[in-house]
Amino acid sequence: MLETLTLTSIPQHAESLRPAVREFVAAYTSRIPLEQRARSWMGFDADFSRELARRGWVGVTLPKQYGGAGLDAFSRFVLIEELLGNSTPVAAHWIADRQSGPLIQKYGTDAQKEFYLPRIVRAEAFFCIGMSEPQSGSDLASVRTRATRTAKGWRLNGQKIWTTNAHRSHYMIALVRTSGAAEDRHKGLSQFIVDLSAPGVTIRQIRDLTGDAHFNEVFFEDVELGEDTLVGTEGSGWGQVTAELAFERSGPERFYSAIALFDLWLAYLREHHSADAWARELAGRIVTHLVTLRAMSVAVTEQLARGESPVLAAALVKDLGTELEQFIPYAISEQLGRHPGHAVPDGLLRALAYVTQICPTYSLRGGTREILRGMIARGLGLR
Amino acid sequence: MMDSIFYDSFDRLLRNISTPQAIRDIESGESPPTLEEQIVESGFADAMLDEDCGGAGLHMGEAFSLFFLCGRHAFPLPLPATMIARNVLARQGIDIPEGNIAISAAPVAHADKAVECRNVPSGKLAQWVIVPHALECAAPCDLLLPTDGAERVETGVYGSLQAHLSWSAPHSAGVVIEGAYPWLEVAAAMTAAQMAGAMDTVLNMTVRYAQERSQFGRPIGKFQAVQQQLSVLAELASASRIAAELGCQEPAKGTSNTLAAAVAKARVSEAAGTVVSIAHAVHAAMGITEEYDLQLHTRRLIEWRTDYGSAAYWNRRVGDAVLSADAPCTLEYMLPTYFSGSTSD
Repeated sequence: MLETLTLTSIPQHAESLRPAVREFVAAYTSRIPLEQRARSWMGFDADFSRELARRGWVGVTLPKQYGGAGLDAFSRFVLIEELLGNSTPVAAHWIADRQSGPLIQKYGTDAQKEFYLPRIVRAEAFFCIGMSEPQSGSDLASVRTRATRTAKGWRLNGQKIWTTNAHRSHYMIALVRTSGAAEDRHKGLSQFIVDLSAPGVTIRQIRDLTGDAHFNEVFFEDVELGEDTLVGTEGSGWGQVTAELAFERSGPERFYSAIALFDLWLAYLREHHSADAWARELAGRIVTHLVTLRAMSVAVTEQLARGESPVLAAALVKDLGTELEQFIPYAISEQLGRHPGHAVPDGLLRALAYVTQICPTYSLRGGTREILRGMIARGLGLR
Repeated sequence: MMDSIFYDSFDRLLRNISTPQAIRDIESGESPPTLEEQIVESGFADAMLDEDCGGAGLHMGEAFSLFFLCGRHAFPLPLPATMIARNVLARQGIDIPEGNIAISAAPVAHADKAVECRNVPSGKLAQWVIVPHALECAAPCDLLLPTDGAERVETGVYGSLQAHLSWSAPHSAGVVIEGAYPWLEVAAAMTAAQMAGAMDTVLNMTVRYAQERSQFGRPIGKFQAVQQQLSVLAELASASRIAAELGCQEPAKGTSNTLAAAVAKARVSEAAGTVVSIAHAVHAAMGITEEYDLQLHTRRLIEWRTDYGSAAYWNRRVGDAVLSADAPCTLEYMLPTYFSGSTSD
């Protein structure tokens, strides 16, 4: 059976970080265009990331010897809750902060830590994650991109796809095959840090249905990788990737993605005193769900802070959270449509259109709904 | 403070006395003296009383676990309401009466000063009922009324323990409870906790059934279509539990904010509809039978969904609060309103 999520409070040492972050964000958000805010953590602004880094707010969980703040999972929760709750553009450093940094810290060599971690903390090294391939989506273990042994390290050939912000990142942590064949599944996979400026790397942007181009195809053609690019143990890539997922799936980014739209809608209702009974009930329903999800997410954070890897609990938060994120745009558009002819501000309509168009990705990125529910079923003892 | 020994012993007690047969007996109208005696003997009805009054001094946030267990075991007596009421009465210096105490939602107004309470949860079993806003006074005027002497009308709903209760002369029959206690909100949070407990049982029963029942040559739990539904059930049970726990927390010192209770009742009541649907879908016809125990829990969940206000009612309450707040964003509204007790070290 699944473990119980118990109401947990955020310790004071972590809460003490909140006022300063809030103050900084309040000063900065007036400079963020409305459309950018609707993009939530898809919003990319390298200057913003560097501003955060200057204040010591990138890679806060990394050890002090590498420039991090040595803070715990609760502190990072408070920091990113303020950033996401205010819909700031964190995409530039987001992956490095959430996953790549902790991964290198956990599995990397001393030399790798000394090289990458300070650059992550200074927001000088942005990372992307190379997982999906044209023939490997949910079936991640079937990846075909392959690194083969050379005299001086490894040679990489293959292709990744749907790699978010590869074109704006410096490095990719790629899950590739180092032995066996696709049929060998979880065996023979390894993780490498690929310098995206290396010869043989080609990045091609893919435009999405909103007009943005955030994800990419990345081609590797005889890319030479040094010995020092392997992260962790050769052949242990699958286990390493799985451990990342608890970090990737339980955070506030799984229920605050549509919060800018919700805030815009509330502001519109308040300004025009136009909240009818249905709008009031809907606003309440969304908050009711948000409060519950936040309580669940803090409970998972407590497990992370204890050093556990609550992969199932994280799957649960992500599935429920993305369901809410996808409910918000449809429910708001339904509500706005109750009064044909009312003047709805363009900014609200553009945010609404953007979130409605992009929200199917919320339950795709980081593991699809069906995969997550399959994991939960396994946790229930059904598989 | 409640420790796990306290929790475990209550769990064990209920498992022993709240048997499916005992529940059925009470629902079919047999008098419940044995259960009542066992509860009185156990002392759990006084769990929330101060320790110097012979209780265990549990506050609502701690009593949550006991309410949850009452729901898990479908305990048919209004023990959670009795625990809450006994503590409030004691604090008001009112002599605590013997017997079960039910909590009513606000009564139907009557011109002739009579009081009528519709669909009182556990109204068939209670010796006493707390009736909020029973009298028209300057301040909120709540009454503790005996059911002895009240007109008690059954609802006619199969297996329901609710009843309509009315009193022709409530002022002379009742004891005034001062202090404007938020009965509806607290009863809503309490009910949410019981619902979360019931969902826990429903989840376990349904998973077990899916593992035991075979079709097409294998347990139905091996089919992805069934697995995905059970995962949703598990998600909702988990969300409901923590929402109910949040709803049972005392408001921060110096405030009387009861919106966390609103969140709890709204979230859990919304989830309950889906939980019941999935559980019955997986159990198929077997789950609909009187003989199989699932119905002891799902019928209760269906009733609890609307007791003390449905999801629509409480969402509206939350929505009114959100829209009248002047916080610059939802986050800044949410944290102080629902998580104000949430800093410690």
